[in-house]
Amino acid sequence: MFYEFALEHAWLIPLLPAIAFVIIGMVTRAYGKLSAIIAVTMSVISFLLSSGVTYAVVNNGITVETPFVQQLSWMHIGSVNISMGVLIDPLTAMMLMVVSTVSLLVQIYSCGYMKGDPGYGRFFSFLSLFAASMLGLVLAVNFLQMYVFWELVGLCSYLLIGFYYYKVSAREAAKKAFMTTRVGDFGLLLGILLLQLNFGTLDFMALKEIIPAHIMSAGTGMMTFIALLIFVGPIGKSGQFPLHVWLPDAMEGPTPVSALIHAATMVVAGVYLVGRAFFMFNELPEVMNVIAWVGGFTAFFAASIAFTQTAIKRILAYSTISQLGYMMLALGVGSLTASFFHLMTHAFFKALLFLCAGAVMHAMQDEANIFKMGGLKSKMPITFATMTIGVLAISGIPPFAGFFSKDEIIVATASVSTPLYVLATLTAFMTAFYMARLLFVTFFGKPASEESYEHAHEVSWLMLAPLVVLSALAVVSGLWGHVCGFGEWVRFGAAHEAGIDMTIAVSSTILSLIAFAIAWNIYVARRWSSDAIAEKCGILYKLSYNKFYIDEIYAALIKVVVDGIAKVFYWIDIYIVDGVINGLAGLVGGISSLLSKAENGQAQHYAGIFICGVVILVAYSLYYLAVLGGAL
Amino acid sequence: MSEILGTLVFYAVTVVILGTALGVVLSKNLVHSALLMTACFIGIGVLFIWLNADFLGAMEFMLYSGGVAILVVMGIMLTKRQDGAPGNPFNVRSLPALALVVLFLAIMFLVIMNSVVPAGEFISPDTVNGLADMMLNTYILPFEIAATLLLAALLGAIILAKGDGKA
Amino acid sequence: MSIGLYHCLLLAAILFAIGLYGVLSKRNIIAILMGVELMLNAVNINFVAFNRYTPVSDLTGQLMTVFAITVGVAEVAIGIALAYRIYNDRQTINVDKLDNMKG
Repeated sequence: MFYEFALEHAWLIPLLPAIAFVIIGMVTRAYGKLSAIIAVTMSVISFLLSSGVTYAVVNNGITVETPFVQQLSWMHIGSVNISMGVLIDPLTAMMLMVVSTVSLLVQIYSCGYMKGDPGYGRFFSFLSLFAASMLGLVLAVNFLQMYVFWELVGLCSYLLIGFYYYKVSAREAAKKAFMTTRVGDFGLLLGILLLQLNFGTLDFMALKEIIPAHIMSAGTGMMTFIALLIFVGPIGKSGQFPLHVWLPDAMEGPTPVSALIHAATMVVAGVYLVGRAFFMFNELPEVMNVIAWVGGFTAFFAASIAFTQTAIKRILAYSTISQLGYMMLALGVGSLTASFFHLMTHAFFKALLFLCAGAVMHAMQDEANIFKMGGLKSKMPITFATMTIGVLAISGIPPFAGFFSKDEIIVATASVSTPLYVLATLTAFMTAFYMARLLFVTFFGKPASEESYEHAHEVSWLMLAPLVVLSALAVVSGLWGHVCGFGEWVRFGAAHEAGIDMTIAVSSTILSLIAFAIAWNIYVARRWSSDAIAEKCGILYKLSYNKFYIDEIYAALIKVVVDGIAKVFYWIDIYIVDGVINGLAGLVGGISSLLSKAENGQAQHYAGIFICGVVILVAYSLYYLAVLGGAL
Repeated sequence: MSEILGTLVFYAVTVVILGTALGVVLSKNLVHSALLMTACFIGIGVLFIWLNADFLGAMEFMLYSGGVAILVVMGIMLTKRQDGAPGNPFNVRSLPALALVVLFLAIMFLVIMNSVVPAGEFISPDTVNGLADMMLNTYILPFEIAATLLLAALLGAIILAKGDGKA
Repeated sequence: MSIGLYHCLLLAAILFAIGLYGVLSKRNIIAILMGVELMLNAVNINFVAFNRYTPVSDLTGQLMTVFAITVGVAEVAIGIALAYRIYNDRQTINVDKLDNMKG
């Protein structure tokens, strides 16, 4: 059977895109079309295998408790034994489906979007490498394997953000992303090392047995520390406050990259890591609290920034941060199911939104400011339709996907903490508002520039097809998950009841509709002036528009700290290191200038010294033989 | 040849060799040095004959006091300055060199006096045949190598003396 | 006392020392070459003397002298050519002026 084959050969899923990366990178890079075909072919096979694996998971009764594990020894270092392999349980299967679907669709979209770019082949090789790394991350059997792929996806993110490396802003953004996530990765690495030191293993299945027992016997002190360190990794990777600063800048990369990496897949790696290690976090209430509050705050904070941004991709980036905050919040309140459900639906509708944004920008000659667009709905009907679906989905309007997943998160939050519930609901309202603003300003009203409006056109079918598929997924994935029992499948502990709390569902839907209405009045009907509102809010507007000055604060902090340290090191370097080195050099120079007096270039002089040596040697041998008892 | 006569001949030859050698080094005139060197080589050739190495003696006469002497004289002529006789001055290190040489001689004297060499002697009745036999049998390879060396030296000397084509 | 090996060796040593003195103390490159020739001949005397006054059975020592003379003659030829060349290039054969190797 195909699904049995897929299950047994799950390691092929990340390997095939990796092969595509190698082939494209080493051989066909110069031939754009061929490279694209190779990349898409490998993605299709990978997608089929992922589907097979998912089917096998359902069919073979693989559950969270009884995963399918294949592993082989990677290396022995002393007593440390590290293996690589595949771990397949419903979590993995779901992630495989999400990653391979979105990655395949984005690659197809890129065939159209990147047309004519000189780096066409390079782009597909990086996309393939990313797909390989992300799929490998999802399949990891232990923390170290996960960490390896975790760094690899970070590398791909760096490469793709800096894809237009000739642009200074792209280079800077790539560096910023790499270094900011590095802060998080460092915490993660420390956490992993501490785990290895304490338990002697990094294997998920083994740790799942050991850690609860350890906490029972030794208390939560050490584990809290380790878990917090590990959580620093997801904070960096998933753009949680305060390490979210890199994600908006990451929009310098090509739009398909934003859709794939910085919306649908890589940024949820942090959520996935917490979910994968949920057996550890779940035992530590303090850490769960931290996760919930970091997530909740990030969700609200990012939404408040998204309010005032004008670049289409930046709005979506802050919305992504906000939605990731939602997922963290759901994890923090103990609902793995809600978090992963939202992860899945978000991957579809956010990828959809980004690809729509890409199509719009493509049509508008790479214009990013939404206030320079307008009135596009008649020019780009299909894009408009799909974008509307995306907006409805993210705003939580039934029966679109976001409604079900967001509702589950809010329900789960309400049962744990009222302040967080208020925060989450408020965020939902804000989300609806800024997404409506984005939609209305871009597609309704009068065109801001006649000229570019004239140029605007619907994009090619290669780009539209993924939009249509994703919008279909954005419509049905929520309902499907709700009906087919996502909660029984992806869960931690007991099966999750997929109930809808009527009060919460109705109230949040009404709030979203109110937000839509307000946005309509401001941006389409123009009953209220947005400038006047901004004027009234004054300082708040300014704070939001400037992203709460986080970047500036970091820059100042870095300036003080780094410059201070640099000054100290500069002093040490000049007066101590250089002093020692110069002293040594002077010593050597003095001795050698003394010795070089003997080297005056006169061959006779050298011959004389040579004869001296002969005399000394002969005299010594005479002495040795005659006096010290030898015989001549 | 009686023993006393042999001894006398040896000392006479020794005096000639060392005297002319000293003359070579100490003479102020380079041409005189070259002539004295030729005399020294003749003395050495006589010594070889006295040591029953008559073929070598003949070689010494022909090659050293013949060939080498002519080469050296030609070298002196080719490199002499326009004015006056070719000089043969000492350099600034002649006194340290003298000290060193005396020291060397003393050491060598000690070595020779302290050496124990098995007694015995060997007088070949026919050195030409003996040498030819060895040279063309046992030592054929060094012989050929020496021939090659001479050829290389010949070519080398020509190329060196010819210069880079400008002169 | 009849003449033996030691006399020859002493003679050779003195000759060698005289040649060495010439090599070390002369300025003229041709004078130095002459010193080298004296040293070579001192060595040849040693070869012949050892061949004559030690219990050997063939003429190996003399044969080595033949080779040494060959090499010596080649050396003189090259040495003179070098001296001529240096003279052509620098108008001097005074080795005090040849200090290109100065460190």
